[in-house]
Amino acid sequence: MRTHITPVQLFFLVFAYLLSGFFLFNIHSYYAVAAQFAVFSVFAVMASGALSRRSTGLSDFVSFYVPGAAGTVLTGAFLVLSVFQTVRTTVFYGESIARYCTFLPWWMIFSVLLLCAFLAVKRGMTAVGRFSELLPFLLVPLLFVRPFGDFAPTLSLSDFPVSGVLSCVSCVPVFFLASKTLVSGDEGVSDAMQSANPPPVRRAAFLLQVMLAAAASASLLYGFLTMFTFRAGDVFLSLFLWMLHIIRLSILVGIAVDSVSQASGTGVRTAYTAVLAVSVFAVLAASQSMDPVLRGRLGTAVLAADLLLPAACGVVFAVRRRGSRRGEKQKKKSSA
Amino acid sequence: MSSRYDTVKREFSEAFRDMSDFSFRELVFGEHRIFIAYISNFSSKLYINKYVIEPISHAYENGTANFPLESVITNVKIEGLADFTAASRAVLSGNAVVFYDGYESGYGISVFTKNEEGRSTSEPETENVIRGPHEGFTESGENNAMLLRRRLHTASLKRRDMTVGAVSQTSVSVMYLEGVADPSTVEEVCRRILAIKTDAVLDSGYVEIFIQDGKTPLYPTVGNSERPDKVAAKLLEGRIAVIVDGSPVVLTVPFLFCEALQVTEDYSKSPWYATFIRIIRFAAFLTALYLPALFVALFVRHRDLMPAYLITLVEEARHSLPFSLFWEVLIIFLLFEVVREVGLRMPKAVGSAVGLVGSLILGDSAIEAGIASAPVLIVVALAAVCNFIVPPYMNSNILYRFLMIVVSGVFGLYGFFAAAMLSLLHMCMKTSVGVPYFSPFAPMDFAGLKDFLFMAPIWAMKRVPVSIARKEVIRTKGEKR
Repeated sequence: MRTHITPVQLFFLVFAYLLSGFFLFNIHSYYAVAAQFAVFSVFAVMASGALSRRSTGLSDFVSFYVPGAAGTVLTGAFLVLSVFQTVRTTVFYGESIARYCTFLPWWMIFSVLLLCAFLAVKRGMTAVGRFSELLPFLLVPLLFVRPFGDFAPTLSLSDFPVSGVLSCVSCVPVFFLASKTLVSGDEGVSDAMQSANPPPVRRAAFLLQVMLAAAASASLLYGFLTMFTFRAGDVFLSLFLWMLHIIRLSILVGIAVDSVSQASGTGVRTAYTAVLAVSVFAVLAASQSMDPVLRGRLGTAVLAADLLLPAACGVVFAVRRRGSRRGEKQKKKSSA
Repeated sequence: MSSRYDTVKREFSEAFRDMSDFSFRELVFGEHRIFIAYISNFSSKLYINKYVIEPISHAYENGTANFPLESVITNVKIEGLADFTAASRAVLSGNAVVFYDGYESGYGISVFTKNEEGRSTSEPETENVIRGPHEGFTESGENNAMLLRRRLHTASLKRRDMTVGAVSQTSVSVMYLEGVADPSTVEEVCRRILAIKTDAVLDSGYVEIFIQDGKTPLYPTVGNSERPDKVAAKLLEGRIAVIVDGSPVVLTVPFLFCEALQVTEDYSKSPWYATFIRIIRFAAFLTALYLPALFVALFVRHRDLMPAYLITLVEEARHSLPFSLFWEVLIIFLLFEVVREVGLRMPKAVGSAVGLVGSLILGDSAIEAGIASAPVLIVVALAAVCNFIVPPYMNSNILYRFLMIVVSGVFGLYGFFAAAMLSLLHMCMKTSVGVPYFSPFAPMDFAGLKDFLFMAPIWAMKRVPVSIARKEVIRTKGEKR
């Protein structure tokens, strides 16, 4: 099912994705927050090349840089990366729930993930996008109530944890969300959407602006919300955070579902499904039984891949472009 | 003597046999015989005398009677009847059918003589206002359409008539503003009405069940009102009104979540005050939905999250109670619903007294007898009172609140959050005739947001909500091309 999101929804989805990551991975340094924002910005800029044209999902986005069979394989690699993020998010999400509910079995926590998957299959990103637009309703009362708590900032200026960098940002959701966004003037935009979203002068710049604004808002808000604590266990904050986590999980599951459903051909679809299933089990097994040092290395490897894969895409694109320009020049020479 | 006259007369007598209220008046003017078929009281005898019998007899006496009689009958609404089905339908709709010698094709003329006596317009009891019109719809569909026309003097206000119900043959009218309402939505509404397969439509509620989105939605996707000014305002926003003959409640589609927070009187007040009161309404709505469930989740499963003095307060109030807190909340919640239902069903004069006795005396006695605790009573009563602030969701909220209490009691905060998130996700996907239910805030529509929690002055609401009209319509200029 091909579904799209509006620029407003892109803002809230990016906002929720980042803020959820900050809370989920318990970032406690200003430098780490700034680093995450910087990494996100790099990914957003990388994505902007493809944002200048319409794409309908991750596979379409990748094939813009690397067409053909290589692009299909690369999409699979991106899917493995998203699985890593999904599993990590689920584990941390489960832990955050376990802090509240010691009496709950594990399957109940995973049932939320299943629910996200179901919704992602049923309505694609449209439902998740609309859901994210409800965030201000939980956020506004929180902003008013929060300053009445005890002032106890948890973010420090002295700490610079290397492991904190890249812990909650992955390139795949950034590319995926950007590629799913429709702006006025795009093909297939309804009259209602056309009117609600005034046409931007430059599509890529507009979407980049939206994403950066969302990331900056999330970073600033994280700083504000972690300044105060509530003795009463922060029920309001918990409700807000769980909503953020559900959105984050929905985005990650949505990537997998969308990429599989949009894959051209049964063979590619089966291959993607197999890659996803194997990755889920592998990452789950690794996170359960692996030596902490090895687990850390695996994490570093995945994070390196997160940076390298988009860079590789860019290199392939540049080489292809150069080649095609050369070919054109030669043609001109020979015709002359 | 024409044999066709006798044949038609026999057909009528046969079709309407054993109907004591079916009347058959036969008149003879020289060589011509005329019969008038109608249903007593359903057709007005005064109209029949004045617009059918008198003109014909005058014309005959003056020698100006000429057949066919269409030119003699002075009623403005007459119609030739092609077959017997149309003729019997005309009689059953309250019209008089006139047939005479020499009428060789068709089944006579239908003359509009429907007795339209009924309740006169009065103030709707369910939607009272201090400032604003005190006029409400009545049971007459024609009258209701007229009340809307009286407010919107434009040829753009279109009306389509349909008949539904195999036995009841109820007239249903669809009214909309051309150029503002989305044509595809109008077509969809008409398609849904025409697809109604039932024997009788006795109230607009019947139509609502058939045209709503989803088979059994918990929250309504079709709006309703007894106020012509409110429905007129909705038409101006591109909505469609469905008038059902016999019902004083007019349906409106699409119906969005935000409409429950809007009250007609808001537009007559200062936007500042209207905004304030809307925020209060929204807060009360959330209180009605979530307060008892949150109370149960925190005090049953997560006592460590609550301040010690609150725990002590509740514990002291409940120290001799026979039930757990979860069961106490559920029982009081159900008891309150019983008292409310009794108050509604009792005759008006007794109902309020029963409500008072039920809620005050029973509540007080229950605390004194040690069957219920004051904190639980306060929580349940507060939620119940807050529920009355958004009438369209009153019934749905009761069920939803019950489910939330059960889930929160069993799974604690996790259950509470999961159920709240699940229902929000469900509502995000919900639509009313294709329009997102949470519009204008999900998906966001900036024109629509001016009339949601924060209300802009009327002069600032220049555009019709895009999500409803599905195109940009500027209120003073019409559709933007």
